[in-house]
This record gives sequence, structure tokens and C-alpha cells, in this order.
Amino acid sequence: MQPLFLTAVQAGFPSPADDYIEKSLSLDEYLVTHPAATFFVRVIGASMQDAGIYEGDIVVVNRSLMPRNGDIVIAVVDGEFLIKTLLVQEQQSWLVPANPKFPKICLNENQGDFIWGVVSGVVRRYV
Amino acid sequence: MSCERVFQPKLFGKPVIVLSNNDGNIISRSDEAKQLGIKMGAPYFKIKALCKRQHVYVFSSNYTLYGDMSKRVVALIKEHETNVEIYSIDEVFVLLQGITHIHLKQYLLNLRNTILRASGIPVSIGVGTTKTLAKIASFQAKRILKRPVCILGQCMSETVALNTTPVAEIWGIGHSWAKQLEAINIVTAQDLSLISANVIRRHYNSVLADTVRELQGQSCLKLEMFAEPKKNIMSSKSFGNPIREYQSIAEALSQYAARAAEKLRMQYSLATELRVFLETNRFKEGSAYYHRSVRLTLPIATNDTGLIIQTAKLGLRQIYKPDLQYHRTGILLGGLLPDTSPQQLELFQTEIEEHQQQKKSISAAAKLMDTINHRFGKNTVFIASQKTHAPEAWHFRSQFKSLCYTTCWNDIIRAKS
Repeated sequence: MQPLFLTAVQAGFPSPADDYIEKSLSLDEYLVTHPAATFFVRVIGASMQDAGIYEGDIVVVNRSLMPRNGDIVIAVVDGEFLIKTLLVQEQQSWLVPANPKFPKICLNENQGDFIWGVVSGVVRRYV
Repeated sequence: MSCERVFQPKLFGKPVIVLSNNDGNIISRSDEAKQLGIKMGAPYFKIKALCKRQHVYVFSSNYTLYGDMSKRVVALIKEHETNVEIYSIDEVFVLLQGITHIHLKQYLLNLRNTILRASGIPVSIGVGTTKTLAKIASFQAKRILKRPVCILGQCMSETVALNTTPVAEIWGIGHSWAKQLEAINIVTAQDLSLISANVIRRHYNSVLADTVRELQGQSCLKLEMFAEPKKNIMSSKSFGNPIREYQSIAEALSQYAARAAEKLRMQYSLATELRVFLETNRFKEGSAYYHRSVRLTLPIATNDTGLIIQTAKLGLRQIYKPDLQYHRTGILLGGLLPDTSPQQLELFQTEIEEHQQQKKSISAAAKLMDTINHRFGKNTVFIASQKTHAPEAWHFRSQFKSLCYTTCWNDIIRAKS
């Protein structure tokens, strides 16, 4: 673990304010605000590319967040996991892909469909 | 079972069962599986045909997953409550304080919903003035009322709850005691609660007497909140009242040993040694303090309840002295190894209390094996993993294990975009 100093240390005369060391940056802390309620999900398919979520990405899902209109969510439709944008209308909720070429899907709560969790972040590794 | 449903939502509304280590017995069932008549603890081979016919989803226990989900549920509870005792992988005691009566039910329903929302795990909550009564409330919630929350004195009267709880369902009362009590017409928890605790103490032992006191509203079992270091697993308890008889101490020790074994499985470890200790009351005036412990090596690296209990009892025999008033006993499991070590992981599936029959036939099998080997030469019959050319032979059977959805990157769920 490498300590991260607040400001660059001037040659020979470090400022007394720099006397304490901060802990390292942690991606885990940045991405996971509620560990007990956080799960990771792998994305397959391409309909959310326009939202910056690509096939192979890992999304961070926070189940303790209340899903709102416009959130990207993991939903269960016909027993399958989907990742889409949530569109809440008076009569009906929809799961909408970022790319309009793909179909939007109806969320049928009385048929057992439900929102599994809200996507709070996305992670991609290149190497 | 609930854990499996979180990551495989197609299982909702379907009959689902989870099998113990080595795919032996049923350790969890969905409501739909219950309706098919599948009993808790039933051996899998007996209902295999039924499962096939009725399209029952069968899973091998996945303690890696269950342990992780359990940690999450506990963490969620701790966000709201401080006095939390983790009793087992799926049970927790909480000392509720500072909530007024009229708000209690709503508070608990909210808590339950919060846990369900955040983790996907539905929990059942029972509330009573003692731990034993809380467990009865929990039984009522789950099996009688079929509602998420049951508060004795609010959701139902304590008397009604005790009247509709059979003695066998009381926490701390196993098969043999239940039979003995039923034989003398003590059939419900209410029946038992009407007996004087002192009478029980004289005719049975003080552990049962404590249970009776608890049923009567007198709290004898305090909340235990100490976390064990990971290198060892300890399970021990002070007795409410001192105990003298070997049998009672052995029974208590068996219970602690079973709990320790469960914690061992929960952190997917095996133990190679154990320590049993026994002591009188250190602070009692007028009597010398007797304190002994003994360390024993386990015959194999194991997490098997039966074997651990057997070995613990051997240790107890060595340190027990008659005519002393004992105050505390316990077991410490050590020399822990991860459970993927290439050793025979579990000889046989055993559950205490409920499966004495099975245990008898298992030791009979072992004796038979010895007899055959003696007659026809060493290793005529041997346990599969002892001699093997196939590399997987030491894996114990868990053909239906689900994935490690929360601990393995390759196993995380996939969502279609």
C-alpha cells in the first residue's frame, strides 16, 4: 500500500500540514457504498451500448436503492435477468434498451416480473 | 433454499430442495416441495423418484454462497440493531430495546422488508421475553401463522402459542426428551411450562429446568456476542445452575460441539484437533476451583458433526470427575484447514437427535467393514477415497451444487442487455 500525500513535497521543506498520510484510493470504496446489498453482474448483449454499457462489462448492483424512472436496472422477466433502463408510466412499467433498434419490454408484475436491483456503476478492464 | 432463489428466479413457485453434505438428506425445502410431502431430514435416495416425477429442483448445499448471504443479512440487521448474537448460519438473536410496544410490529416488518429488498432473503421474526419464547414465536410465525412476524403478547397470546407448540419443537428439547415427556402426558410447551422448574431439575437435569424457566418468562440464557478468532472455533456456555451429572454435561457438550461443527462448515474449514474444557465456578466461595482441559487429535480432518461430538465426548470422559458442581463446558476446534484439502471430507452424513437410526447403521457398517477385512484380508472393503486412481475420488458427492454467485468472478449472474 502506497501512501498518498496531499500535496507535492517541496525539496527540503515539507509543509507541516502534510504531516499526516491519507490511505490509498480504493475502487471498492468508490463503487460499493452499501456492501451488504451490493452484487456484481456480468453483461451479455449489446442493447445498452449507447448508455456506455458493453458486452463483458461488470455492473455494480445496489439492491437497497429504490428503483426510479430513468435508472438502469437489473430486472427479472420470465425468470431471466435483463439489464435495461426503467421507464415508469402510470399504468405500466417498461424496460427500455439504450438503442431504439432493440425492443422495449413490458414489466408484468402480476406475472412475477420484478426489479432485482439498481445499477449504480459499471466496470471494464482492458488488460 | 432462499439463497438459491435469489440468483435463479425461475425457481420461484417451484418445488426446490437442498441436500446436506454428500447429498445425503434434505436440509431445506420450498413451500411447494413441502406440499409434495417431502420431509425435512429425509434421505435423498428415498425421494429421488418423487423428485424426478414432480420436477423438483435439487441442489447440493453450497455453504460458500449461504455463508456469504448470511453475512449480508447479519450486516443488514446490525445497521439497525446493536445487540445481535449470531446463533447459526441462518439464525440470529437480537435483544430489542427502546422500541415502544405499539411500534414494534411495524418496525420489524420494515426491517424484514429492508433485508428482503437488499439481500433477497426473506426472514421470519419471532419475539418473546426470553430466547426460548422467541424461538417459539419464530416457530409460530413460520409454521402456524405463516406470516413474517410473530410477537408473543401482540400477534397472539403467549398461552395460545405455547398450547400450539409441541414439546419436540421447543429449543433445546430433542427427540429423546420429547418422547420421555410425551410419555408422561407433557405434550405441548404449555404443559411443560406449568411444571415447576425445580421438579424438572430433580427428575431430569438443570438444562431442561432452564428451558422450563425460560418458557415461564424467566430469562436464563443471556445474549452471547463474542466473535471467535478465525483460527479457532469455540463453542461454550456457562450453565444457569451448576451441573454434576456426566450425562447432562455430555449432552450440553454435544450441542456446543454441533454448533461448533456448523460454524466450521460455515467458514468452509475442517478441524484436525479439538480441545474440551470443563470447569467449576471460579468465584464460588468455599470450594476449590477445578479447571481441566484436554486436547485431542481428530482421526481425520473433518467438519462432520457426528465425529466431532464422538471425539469431544472421549475428551470429556478424561477430564470429568464425579461429585463436583460444574459451571461451564465447551469445545474449541483448532488446526483448521480449508475444506478443499485433499482428505476424506466427510465419512458419513450424520445429524444428531433426529437420525440416531442412521448413526446406528453407519457404525454397524463400519463394524461390518472391519469384520470383512479381518476375515478376508486387509483392505478387502475400504472407504472409496482411501485407495484411488481417479483424481476426483476424494471429492464428496455434491452433484447439484449451484455456483458461487457472490464469491467467484466466473460465477456471477449474467444479465442480457
